[in-house]
Amino acid sequence: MITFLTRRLISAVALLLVVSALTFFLMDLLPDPGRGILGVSATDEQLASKRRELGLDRPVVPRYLDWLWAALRGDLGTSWTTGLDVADSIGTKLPVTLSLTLTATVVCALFGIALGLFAAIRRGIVDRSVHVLAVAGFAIPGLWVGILLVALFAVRLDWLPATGYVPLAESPVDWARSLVLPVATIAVSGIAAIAQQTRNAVATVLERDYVRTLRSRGLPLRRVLLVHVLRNATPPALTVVGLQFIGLLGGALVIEQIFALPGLGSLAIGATSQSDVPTVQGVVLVSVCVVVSVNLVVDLATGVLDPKVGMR
Amino acid sequence: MTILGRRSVAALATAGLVVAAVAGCGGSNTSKGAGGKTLTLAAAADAASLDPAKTAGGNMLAYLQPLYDALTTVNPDQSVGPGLATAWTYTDPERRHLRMTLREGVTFSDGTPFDASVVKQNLDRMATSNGPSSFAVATVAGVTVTSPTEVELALKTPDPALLFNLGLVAGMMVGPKAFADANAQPVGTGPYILDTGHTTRGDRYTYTRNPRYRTPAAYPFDKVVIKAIPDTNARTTALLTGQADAGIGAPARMDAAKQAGLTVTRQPGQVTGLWLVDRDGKIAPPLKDARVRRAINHAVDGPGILKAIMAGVGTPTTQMFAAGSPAYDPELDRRYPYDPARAKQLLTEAGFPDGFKLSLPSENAFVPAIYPVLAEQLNQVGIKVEYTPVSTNQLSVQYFSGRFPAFMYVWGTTQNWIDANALLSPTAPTNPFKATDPVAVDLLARIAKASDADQGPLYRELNAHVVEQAWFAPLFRGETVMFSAKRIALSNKPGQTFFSLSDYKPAG
Repeated sequence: MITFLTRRLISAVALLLVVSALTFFLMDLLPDPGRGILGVSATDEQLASKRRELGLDRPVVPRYLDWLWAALRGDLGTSWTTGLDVADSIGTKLPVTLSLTLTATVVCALFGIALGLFAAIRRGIVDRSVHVLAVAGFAIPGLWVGILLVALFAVRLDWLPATGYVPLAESPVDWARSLVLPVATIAVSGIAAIAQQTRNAVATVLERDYVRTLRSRGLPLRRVLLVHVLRNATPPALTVVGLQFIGLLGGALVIEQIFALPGLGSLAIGATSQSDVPTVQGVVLVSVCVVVSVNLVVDLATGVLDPKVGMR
Repeated sequence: MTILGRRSVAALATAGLVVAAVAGCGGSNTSKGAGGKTLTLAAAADAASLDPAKTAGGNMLAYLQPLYDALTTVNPDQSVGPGLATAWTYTDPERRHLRMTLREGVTFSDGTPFDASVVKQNLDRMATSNGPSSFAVATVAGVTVTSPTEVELALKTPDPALLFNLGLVAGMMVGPKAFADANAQPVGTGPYILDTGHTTRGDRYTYTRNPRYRTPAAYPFDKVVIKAIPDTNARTTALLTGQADAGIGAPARMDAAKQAGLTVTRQPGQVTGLWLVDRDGKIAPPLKDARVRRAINHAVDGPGILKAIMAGVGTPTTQMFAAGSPAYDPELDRRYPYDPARAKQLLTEAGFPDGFKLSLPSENAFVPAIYPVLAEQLNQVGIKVEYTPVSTNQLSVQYFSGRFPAFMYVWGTTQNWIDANALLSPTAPTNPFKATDPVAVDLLARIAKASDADQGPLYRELNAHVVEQAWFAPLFRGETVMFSAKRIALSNKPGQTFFSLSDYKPAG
């Protein structure tokens, strides 16, 4: 277990280094950030002076090492455009994105697993219906679903807010209301993916000899399902849920724009288009950390559920 | 460009820059029947910094105007009126010494009195802060305090845009005690103060009344909330559902807005057109010939493109200066009717009977639908367009680097001097090939020293020259479409291109 964790930790650190360096060097290839910050009317002298102010007159490698050293001490620097502390900005945006992605993942997992189980057990018409639904869920673009949902539930019926985010601490009810439409938009394809995966995993397990043996010994189906089948079918489903969550982090970029949610995605889009390197680096760093942690949790959970998966 | 600034690109994508900007745009927060004392605006871009020394104009103005007064005020017709300075005069015929008389009895929201030394500190700070608005005071050589209520600005060169610029971000006065932390804890003499407890950067900004403000009656709302909603669709939906009282909407949804009971206000916006920047023919030799440039003007069907692609929301034009500004001459809009035969004839006269190849950039964010039509229309007269797709990230930087001989651009027109300099001056960063001619240079020099009254005819002469030389091939002037709730009355004078906070009143 400890070796396993150590190895994961080392690979996580390596991943962080590679991704952060890659982002830093790629950002450096973009047109002059000074121009982005000062606008098209800035004179050459102003640009030169801005470059000095930002330290861009120095080579990229020492600049990266400086950033890295500061980041290791928890200092992510100051945004080049807003002048705000990057860690603070991320601190206010991360809860929005996590609210969105975690809620969406839970919703997808619950509905997806339930549908998948149902399809695997009942088979026949139920199975085929779920399959058709799942394919449709994949095929329909989430964006379009979002626009439809807004047109119906926000504009026409006025049941839910069309845009914006309310912090959980301010009002749990409004927080939930502000998430319904964005989560529903994401959930369409998410549920489809998880339902398909669960259905296949459960169906495979149900056909195993040991399940037939258990059933023949008179164990009730419910017990067989809960204790034996699910336990064996969950790891593949869990992997999909983990992947789903990571995918959502990227998908949040679009969803946050559509619903005007002030999350990491909005921050990343704004910062990238303005070549705000410190903010982009901060967002990348935090995103990688979140992704690594999720993978770790999924692996640990898989290990607990399935003793055959050795944690070496 | 100036008022546009860094976010201009984003603003371009969505709506009129200037308009968006100044107007900032917004709406009322919890609005639905919230008693009419709160104004919630939906803005097309997030605020950068709340410290004027670190902020551009354009979309940013909406966030700053509640907090800060500027030395002058820019009127809806872009003329300049009194602000924290009540009067001013140039004391020399060269117009290089500006004496400004300051308003008395004004205090900052932290109690610090406003006086001449504060003006000097602010202007010096703006000049040295190297922020997005610093260029606007680049002509100021020094500020002298001549009395507690009077300052004198010495200029390096005459600057007909200075008083205009001092009515925008560059002239906003920050309380000197707040210099260090103006972004987080802004202190100004404006009608409102920032309610930091109800402000989330990147999302919403809440302003409450400044108890020290001198004429609160001019601002009827007790609270102003500005929500940053960069996505046009999201912003439009927020307006349709009453999450905001006013903001720039999607033109395509004007009918839906009217059905939802909103007021739709259309204002002249930016000029969309082809910039023939390589007019010396450095990388595209045919463009050196004025006949070729005129042929391009005749070859593109501005009215047709406007109708087909922009649903007719706008006005065809051939000139780059703002409608209603001193330089504008409606007659010029008739100079280049759509006439492919005439275009072909001009190309033949110029020695290109079979046309030529022209390399242009294309992008997929601002006016993507124009590119195929443009290529087809130019092809009709023999000009074969080869597009190079470019990333929309820092589009302007790529365009103004001199990589392309011409490009399609959306320009937010503003004050005439600012536009004239940006478009025509050989030193302007927006003139990538530094192309100009003696006529333009001479006219610019004469305008710089002319009195306000004499500037108009000179601007018109300059405009006529540019149109005749066909340095641009403008297609149309777009419109900014403002959606506002019925509970808000929005003052809108003819030709007004932006809204200030004081333009919003409760209806009835």
